[in-house]
Amino acid sequence: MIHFLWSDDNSYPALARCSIPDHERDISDTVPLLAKPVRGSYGALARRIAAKLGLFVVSISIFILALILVKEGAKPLAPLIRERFSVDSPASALGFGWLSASMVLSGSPIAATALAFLDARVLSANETFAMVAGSRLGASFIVLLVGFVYVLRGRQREVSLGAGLVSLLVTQSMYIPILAIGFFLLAQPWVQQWQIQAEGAVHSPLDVVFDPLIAFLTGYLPPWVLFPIGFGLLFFSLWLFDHLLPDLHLEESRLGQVHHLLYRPVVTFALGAGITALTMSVSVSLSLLVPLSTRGYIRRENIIPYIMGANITTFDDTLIAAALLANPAAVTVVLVQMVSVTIVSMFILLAMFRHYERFLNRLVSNIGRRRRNLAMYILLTLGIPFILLIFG
Amino acid sequence: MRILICTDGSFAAEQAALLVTRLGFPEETEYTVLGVSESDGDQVVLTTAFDRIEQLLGGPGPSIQRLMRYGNAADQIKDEAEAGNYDLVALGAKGHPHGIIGPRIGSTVNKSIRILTIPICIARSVPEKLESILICTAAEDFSLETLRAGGRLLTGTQAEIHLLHVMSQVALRLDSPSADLRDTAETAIRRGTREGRHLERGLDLLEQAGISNPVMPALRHGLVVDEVLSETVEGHYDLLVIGGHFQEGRIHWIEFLLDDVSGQLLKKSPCSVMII
Repeated sequence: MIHFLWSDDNSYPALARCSIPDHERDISDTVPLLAKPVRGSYGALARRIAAKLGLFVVSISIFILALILVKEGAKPLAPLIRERFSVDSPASALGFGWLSASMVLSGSPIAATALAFLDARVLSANETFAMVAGSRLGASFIVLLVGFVYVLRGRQREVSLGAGLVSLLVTQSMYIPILAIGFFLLAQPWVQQWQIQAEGAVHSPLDVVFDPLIAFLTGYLPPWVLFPIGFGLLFFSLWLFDHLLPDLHLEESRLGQVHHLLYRPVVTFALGAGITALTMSVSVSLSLLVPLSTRGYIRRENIIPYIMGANITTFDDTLIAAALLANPAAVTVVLVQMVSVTIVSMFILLAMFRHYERFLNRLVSNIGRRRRNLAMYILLTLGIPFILLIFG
Repeated sequence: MRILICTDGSFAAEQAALLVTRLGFPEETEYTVLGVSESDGDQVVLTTAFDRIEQLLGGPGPSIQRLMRYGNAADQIKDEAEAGNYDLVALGAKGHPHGIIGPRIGSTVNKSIRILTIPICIARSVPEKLESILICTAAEDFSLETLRAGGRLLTGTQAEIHLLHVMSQVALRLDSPSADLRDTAETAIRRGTREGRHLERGLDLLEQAGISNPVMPALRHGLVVDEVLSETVEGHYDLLVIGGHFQEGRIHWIEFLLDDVSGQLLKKSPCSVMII
C-alpha cells in the first residue's frame, strides 16, 4: 500500500491511483514542456473523452445540487451556527473553518459550504472570507496527524513528516498576512465594484432544474436535513471531479527533474499554480510529482514555491462554486482570497524568498527534532482554532 | 596549460594572480595578463599592475605575455578567452561577500561568469598557502565533467581536497527510504545509494585526473546553498570549486528554468571560487 504524506483536499481517492515506477525514468531531450496526450487509437481516445465528458456533466450537476442543498439546509441552522457554535465574527469563522476542515480532512467542501452560508445570509462577507481561509489552514491537518502516528510507530521523522510538514508550514506561515490583506481589501469600496451588479434578483439557471427537487425533498424532510445531505454530496462530487484529471506526464518533461535539479523559485511556483489549476487540489497536484522519483523525494528548494503556487489555484473549485451560486458577493470573497494569496506569494518570491526558505527549513528541523516539539506543534495547530472559535 | 589573468589595476586583480600561483601549475604553463582600459588614463595604472603581477608570477619571462585592450572589460575578456584557447580565466572579486547594500561581486565578474564557457576562478582572501579545497558536485551526469575538468586544474596543488554533495531532498511518500536522508558519505558509499555511487565515481574521476592526495567525500543534508556555505566556513576552506555556470551547447531557456546556484555561492562565499 502506498501512503502519502499530504492530503489537504478533496483527493483521497486520487492519491490511491498514483503508482511508483520500478526504475528511474529517462528524460528525453525532445519532449514538450508539460502535457503529453494519452497514447492509443483514436477510437479509444474518443471513448475516453466521451466518458470524461459524461462524468463531468454528472459531477457538475451533483456539485450544483449539493451547493443548493447546503444553502437551503443552512438557513434553519443559522441560529445554531451563530449562537450555539458562536460563529459570529471573522475570528470565530476562521476557527470554525479551520476545525471543520481538520475534522473532515479536506478544505474544498468547507470552502464551498462557507459560500453557501454567505448565500443563505448565515455569514457576512468578512466571516465567509475567514472561514474559507480557515478551510485552507485545516485542510492539511491530516498530514500532520498521519506523520505523528508514524513517528509514534517508530518510523523515521525525516520520512514521516517530510514534504507534508513543509506544505503545512508554507500555508500556515502565509495566512496571517493573507488575512490582513484580505480584510483590508474587503473593506475597500472599490472592491465592491468588482461585483457584477444586477438590477433584479439573480438566479442560477440551474435553479429551474433543481427547485422542484428541493421542494419535493423539503416536503418530506425537515429543512435542516438538507445540509448534511448536501455536504455529503459535495464530497462525492469533488471525488468525481478527481476522476476527470487530465493525464499529465511530468516525468517526460523538462520540469520532470524536480527531485534532482534546482529550478528557479518562480518556475516551480508557476508549475505548482499551473498543475493545481488543472487538478484543483494541492494534494493531487503534489501526487503528480511522486512518480518523478523512484524514492519519492523532491528537492525542498523546489517544493516550497510549488506549494505557494498551488495555494492560489486550489481555489478554482471554490470560485466555480461561487459562480454556480450566482452570488456576486461570494465571487468577490473568493477573488479577494486568491488575490491576497497571490500578493503575499509574490512578495515572498521576489523580495525575501531565500530568507523565507531558510526560516521554513529551520522550523521543519526544529519541529521534527523531538517528539515533544511535534506534539506541541500538533496541540497548537488544534488549539488555535478552538481558541479562535471560543473567544473570537 | 594556458591561463588568462585579468586586471583592471586593482588589488583584487592581484589576488587573482596570487591565487594562480597557489594552484601550482606546471612550469611550462603560459600566462597571459590582460589589462582592459575602460577610460583614458588607465594605461599607466595597468602598466604598473602588469609589473606587480609579473613579480607575483616569478618575474618577467617568455611564459608571460602582456595584453592591453580597450572597451567593456567582460566583453574583452570573453573575446580573448575564446581566441586564446585558455584553460582557466582568473579574476579578482571586488565587493564584499557580506555586503548588504552594495554589490557583492563586481559587474565584470558578474557578467563574465555568465558569458564565459571555460573554467573561471574568482579570487578572494587568498591565503599564503592553499590548505584545503572543497569541490561540490550535484550528483548529476553533467557534474562528472565538472569533476574531470576541476581535477585537471587542481593536480598541482598539495591542498587537502574534499568532495561534497548536498541532499536537499525531502520525502513525498511515507514508504520513501528514510536511511538515504540520514546518510553520511561513508554510509551512502557503503550502501551503494545514488549519492554514494556518484561520490565513489567522483573520487575515481579526480584520481584519474591526476590528483595524488587522498580526496575525502562528504555528504550534507539541507538547503544546497546554505549547506555548501556552512561547510566552507566550518571547514576553513581556501577554495570552493563548483560547476554550473553557462555550459556551451545547453539550450538558453533551460538556463532560465534552472536556479543560479553558482551565482549565489560566488556572491556569498568567504573564500575564492572556481567555477568549472
